[in-house]
Amino acid sequence: MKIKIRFGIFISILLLVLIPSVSAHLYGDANEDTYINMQDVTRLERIVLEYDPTTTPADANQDDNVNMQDVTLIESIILEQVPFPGGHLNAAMIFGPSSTLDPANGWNGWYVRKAGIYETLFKYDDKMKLTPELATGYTQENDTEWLIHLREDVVFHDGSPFNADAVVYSFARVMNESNSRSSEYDHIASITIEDEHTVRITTAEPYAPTIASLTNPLVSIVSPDADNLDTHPVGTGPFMYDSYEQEVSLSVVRNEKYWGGGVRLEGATLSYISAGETRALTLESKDNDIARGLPFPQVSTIESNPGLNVMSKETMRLYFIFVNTGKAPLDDIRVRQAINYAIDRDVIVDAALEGVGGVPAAGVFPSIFPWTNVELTGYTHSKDTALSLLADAGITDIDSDGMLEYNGEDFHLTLMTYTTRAAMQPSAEVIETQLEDIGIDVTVELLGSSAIKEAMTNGDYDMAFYSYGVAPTGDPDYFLTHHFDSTAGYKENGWIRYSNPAVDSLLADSRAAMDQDVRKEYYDQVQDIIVEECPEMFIFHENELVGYNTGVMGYAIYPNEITFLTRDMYIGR
Amino acid sequence: MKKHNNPFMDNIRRLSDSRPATVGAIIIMLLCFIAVFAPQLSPNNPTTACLEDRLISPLTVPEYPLGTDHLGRCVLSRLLYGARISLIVGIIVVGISAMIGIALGVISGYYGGVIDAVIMRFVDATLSFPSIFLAVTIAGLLGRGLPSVIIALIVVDWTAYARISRGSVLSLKETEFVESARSLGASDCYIMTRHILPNIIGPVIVIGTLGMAYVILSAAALSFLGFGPQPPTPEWGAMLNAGRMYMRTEPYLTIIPGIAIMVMVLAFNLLGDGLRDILDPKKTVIE
Repeated sequence: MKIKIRFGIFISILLLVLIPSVSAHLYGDANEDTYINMQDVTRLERIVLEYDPTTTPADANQDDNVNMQDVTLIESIILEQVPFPGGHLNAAMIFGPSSTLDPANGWNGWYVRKAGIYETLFKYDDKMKLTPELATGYTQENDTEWLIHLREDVVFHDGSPFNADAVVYSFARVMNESNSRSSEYDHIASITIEDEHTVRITTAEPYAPTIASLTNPLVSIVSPDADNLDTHPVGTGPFMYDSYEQEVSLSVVRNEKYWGGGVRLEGATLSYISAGETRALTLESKDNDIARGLPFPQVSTIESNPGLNVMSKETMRLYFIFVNTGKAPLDDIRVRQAINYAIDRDVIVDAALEGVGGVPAAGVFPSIFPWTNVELTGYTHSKDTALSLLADAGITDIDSDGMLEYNGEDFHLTLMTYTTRAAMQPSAEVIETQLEDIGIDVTVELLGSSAIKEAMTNGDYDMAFYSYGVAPTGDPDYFLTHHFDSTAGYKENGWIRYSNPAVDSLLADSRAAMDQDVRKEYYDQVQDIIVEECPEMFIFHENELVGYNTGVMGYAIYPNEITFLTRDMYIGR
Repeated sequence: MKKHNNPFMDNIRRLSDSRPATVGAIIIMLLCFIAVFAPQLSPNNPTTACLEDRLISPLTVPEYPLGTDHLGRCVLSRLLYGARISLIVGIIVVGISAMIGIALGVISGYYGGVIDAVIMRFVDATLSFPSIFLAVTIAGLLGRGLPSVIIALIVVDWTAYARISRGSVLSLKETEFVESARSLGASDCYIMTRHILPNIIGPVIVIGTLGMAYVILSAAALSFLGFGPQPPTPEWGAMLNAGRMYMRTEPYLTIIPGIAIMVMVLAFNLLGDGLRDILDPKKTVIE
């Protein structure tokens, strides 16, 4: 009996001793500064000459000897002649693809793009600057014709060449009427092959955001030779498809022939975990190296963990309220402004987002966006202004019960929202409290998002609290036209009842104007008007909160939430 | 041993002999008292958010004995009001399920044949689904709100009563007093209500009491999953869910409603077990 117990203890200790030795090393990083560069070569030479003590990572070729072969290997790594020993990255993502991995299907393009499989002709960098990706540039021939020059050194993962054929093929898949999102490319009349590495895009009308619309992951360039893009994606990105377990995880491996240079990670697994607490826990347990969308209360816990850190960046995601401008008394601009004044955005950020989850919104666009009207100040919290505006509109506390009355009855509003995003419910509850504070009786209704959309279409709602990305294509036109142009966008499905001819004509003019400075001026005016007339109320811009293992190198947050895995990332320790 | 001739008082006396059952009964009475007098007992309004006083730990500020949640609402007040919702849901669901279940069970057992086959196959079909999944599906279809939780739980709960009453009726309908009532010309309806129903009520009460525990737990579970009443209604399951975000920094937000649910469920289980002991006919014979 005793022997058995002792044996058990022995095995346990053995296991405990063995576990740490399994951890990954960045072989070649001789001085252990998590970078592989010429300093490592110097250090290695010193080790070989026995000036310095040996380190484990110094043995770059893992032959148990630190010698001049390792020096050669490190030099080859630096020159990208041999693969970088970047390790395998595990990341916990919030949302993932559905049953198909086809980028032209619904929103799946976002997820395969995040996995580094596909690329687009142009992209936005981590500062929201429009840069060429699979294109080298463009020439605008006239108001409606654009020549896109393509890279000549790119091959797809299946070995077939990237050329004008592939571009036309990929766009045709999206622009085909059977595609549910084909209307988003209605502005393109035709896309034709000019030569092997040039395509000509002709728009139906002068359309300034044409180049921006080429950044959408929907129009990722796919290989025309691929058999089944639903289950086996073939793109040009730094990572190649490996395996996919539906709604669980997507694994990719390094693309050895990537046109952008050596890819540092050997591979990556993106796990789709919808519960924020679980994502945070898998980061702490080291099951994942990166966890996106940390729950706000966990930020301080993660930051206090010595091996972990939190990266935060303002994103293009806006939390805002759709207002039913077709329903009294919300059709009165003063009532809408009063509500805007009654909402204290700083308190929402502090209370519902723990001070870390967002930035109070002055207008529709965040400060990181080049198209933002920086002169806007938005609505500063003021109960007195709110009450006097409401009094002007005939809403006062007649019976002195502390609640305001409209048409002789208590002024009641419903605020619909949904719970799939963690910030929605607490923010809605804070807004409820703030409006009740000035005497408006507010009910928060948590519904499914389809029920809210139905109520909005029927006009059977007061306010709906929502969250959207404000510039999925990086151009201001998309959001502003969909939300505020009474001749297009959400006007059609009945969500929006707001109509202002001045806004309509400004938006039309800016779509047709090719001079970016002129467009900026138009959009500045539109942003000004919609803040003034508040057909929608802008609450806060979301901060992306990413927890990461400090060993993860080369990671950057892309504010448009489109790019995630890049060739620069690797595990440094 | 023969102090009371009244069988009801006799049962009460035997119940009080069982310590766990007594404890259960006392806790339930206490919870009923809390539920009825929640407005008088609560130190604060359970739905008023006070954002300056958010996330206060329990036992630190006299104004908020059990602290405040993420919106500065008094946890104690929400707990007290939450007892109301749990008990009301439990009583309504068990009451309606028992009525439906007993009616169908008695008819099924008494008439037998095709009626029995149809009703019992339907019961079997319902029972073949995992009950909480069925409830989640139904609540999901009906949308958020207390009524949909109640309907979902009734749909999965009534089968137990149908089964138990059918079983009892099957043995009862062969007994001599039923035979004699029938030979005296009593109608089926009369026999079912006057002779059979009073004799099957014992096991139904046991199932009902244990069922209360199950229903309260399931209602909290559905509410936790987001099918419960709209905010800011204080409901224990919803409180647990709201506290989940803060589980690691402010664990009391989940522990306190968790304990409340546990105590209520435990009380009903203790009482149910005690009732089973005294209402079980076999036990009575031994005594």
